[in-house]
Amino acid sequence: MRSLVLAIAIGLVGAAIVHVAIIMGIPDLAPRTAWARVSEFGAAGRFRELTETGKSSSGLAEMNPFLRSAVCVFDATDAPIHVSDEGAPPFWSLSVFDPQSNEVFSMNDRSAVERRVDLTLATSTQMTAISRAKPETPSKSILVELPQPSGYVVLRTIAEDATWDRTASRFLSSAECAPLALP
Amino acid sequence: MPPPRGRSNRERTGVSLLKLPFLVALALAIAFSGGIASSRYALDHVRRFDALKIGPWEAWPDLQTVRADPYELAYRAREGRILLGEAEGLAFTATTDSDGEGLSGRCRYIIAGTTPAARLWTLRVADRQGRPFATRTDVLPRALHSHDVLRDSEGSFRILVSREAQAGNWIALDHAGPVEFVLTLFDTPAAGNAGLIKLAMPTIRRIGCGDA
Repeated sequence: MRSLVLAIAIGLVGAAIVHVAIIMGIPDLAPRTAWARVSEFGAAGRFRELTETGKSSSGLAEMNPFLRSAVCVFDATDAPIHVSDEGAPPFWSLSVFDPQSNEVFSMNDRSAVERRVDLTLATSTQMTAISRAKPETPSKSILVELPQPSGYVVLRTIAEDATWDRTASRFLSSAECAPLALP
Repeated sequence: MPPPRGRSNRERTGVSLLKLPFLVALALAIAFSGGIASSRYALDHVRRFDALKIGPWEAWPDLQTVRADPYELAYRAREGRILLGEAEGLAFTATTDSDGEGLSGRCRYIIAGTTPAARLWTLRVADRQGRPFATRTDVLPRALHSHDVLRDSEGSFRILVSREAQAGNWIALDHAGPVEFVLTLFDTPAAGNAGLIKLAMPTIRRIGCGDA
């Protein structure tokens, strides 16, 4: 009887260990993380608009019918990434995520200079280089320090009804996230 | 004359020889089934025990940040969604009405009240995975946004969610099975809120089900 109780107790301790191992292991082992899905787009230097639910192969979709989202995967190992867009719709917002999908930076048009998308993503070594070459770099651009060289940017805007669709998709397709030539 | 003891000794050793593997198997079975079952439970219910709750509405302001705990990290990795950043907005989800009854796609609801301050908000109906029931071009309104909603003189709104069309604020809902309502606030101070601001969310009242 005592050994049965002992076996159950050992089993419960083991269950706790298995529980912790599963919870801690999922972020590294899950096959369909957001990063794995956006990586299929490749680091193309351009934003790719997310489709409606049921129309995408990657499993990523914009489920809010009024929201239009586009994703750009970047790799700033060789050069900082300049995220920019000519348009300025009534509302836009963007977030920068690292490969673990932690938010690195987020903003919306109200916090932007002249409501334009213009930011430079740089690693800490590139930040030093940029601040040394300060006069030549566009000073309006918001500098964001990246904890890791790669990640993804999500740019969103609102399309309140069908008449806004073209404005929204033109804004998203004109956005760039290309490597910046360092002086 | 006592019975020969050799045989009974051998029996006893035989029992304890079986007993040890049985106990090891029992401990392993408890460890794995218990560990897997509790992990599944935790991941399915993680929203319940670590959310910002206002009435039936739940949001998760820390989910996409480095402040996320191991359960949130596991949930986030398993779901694989692109989340809203803090400066972008905050999505509230309701799976029950204000009385705690699960939301059904065959019932009629009235969503009434006000939302926390936001530049814009959207309200949509979805299945329990958050997927909408129709495409953007569908003729029936499956969602409303704040610029579209009619309000009373005090600024509060009243939205009917039902199968039959109705004058005023109306969202179409006709789905066999449980549903959820998603209220997304864009550019809102609520996203960075650490409980400093008292947030008011609309109530959800069920007014009937089926054809009755």
